[in-house]
Amino acid sequence: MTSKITAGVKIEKFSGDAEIVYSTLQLNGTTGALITVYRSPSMGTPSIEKFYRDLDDTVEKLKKELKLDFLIFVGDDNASSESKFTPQGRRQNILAVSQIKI
Amino acid sequence: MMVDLIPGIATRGKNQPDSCYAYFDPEKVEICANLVAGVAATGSDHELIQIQVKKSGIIAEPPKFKKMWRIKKFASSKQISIILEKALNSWYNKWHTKISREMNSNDLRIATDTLIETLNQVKNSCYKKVLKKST
Repeated sequence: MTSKITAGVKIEKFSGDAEIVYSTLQLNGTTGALITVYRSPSMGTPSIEKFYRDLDDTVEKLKKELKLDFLIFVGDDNASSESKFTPQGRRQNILAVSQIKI
Repeated sequence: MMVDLIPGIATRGKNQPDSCYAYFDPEKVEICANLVAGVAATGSDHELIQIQVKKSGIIAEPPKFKKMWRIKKFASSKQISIILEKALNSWYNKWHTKISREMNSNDLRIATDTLIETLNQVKNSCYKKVLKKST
């Protein structure tokens, strides 16, 4: 995440998890977060539940710690509901991401 | 509910999309996504997604100016010459008998400081700092 302006902008990047990385942005009284998610197709179904739990924990953590005015979720195509390689279970989880409210 | 910012757009190959969702209050921020320059720009097999967040309703602050001062002359050149000559004569009359090779360093320092002070007094009486511009 980058900013065209320097004054009054606070950007922090958190990368505690290799698959889930998020940044927070504070600008002129507005706070938001950007979550980027990568998932390799080689990652099998067994770990998918943990993946979504971690994602859910990240969203909950952000909602708890910050008064978010916006939330952006960017996912790799392997985490896309439209992917032809996305198993049905993952597809439902991805669609659940689209229902996130803050 | 999250809004799909790239609905139905394939970002990898012909039919593989990445996900890009956003939840936001459009009265506070404007968020949009663009695909930038095709696959070649990223060096990978994905297209680059550029997300722009624009803040709405920013109240601009009035511009702030720092105080600017300028030195203004308050006497004519002739008047300054007269004042300067009078001040230097006064200093000379006081010190010319005391300045010699045998003069100790302390007296020399006092004489020098007095001369500098005399010149500053002349400058301050003939020139004033005036405010040029402020907030």
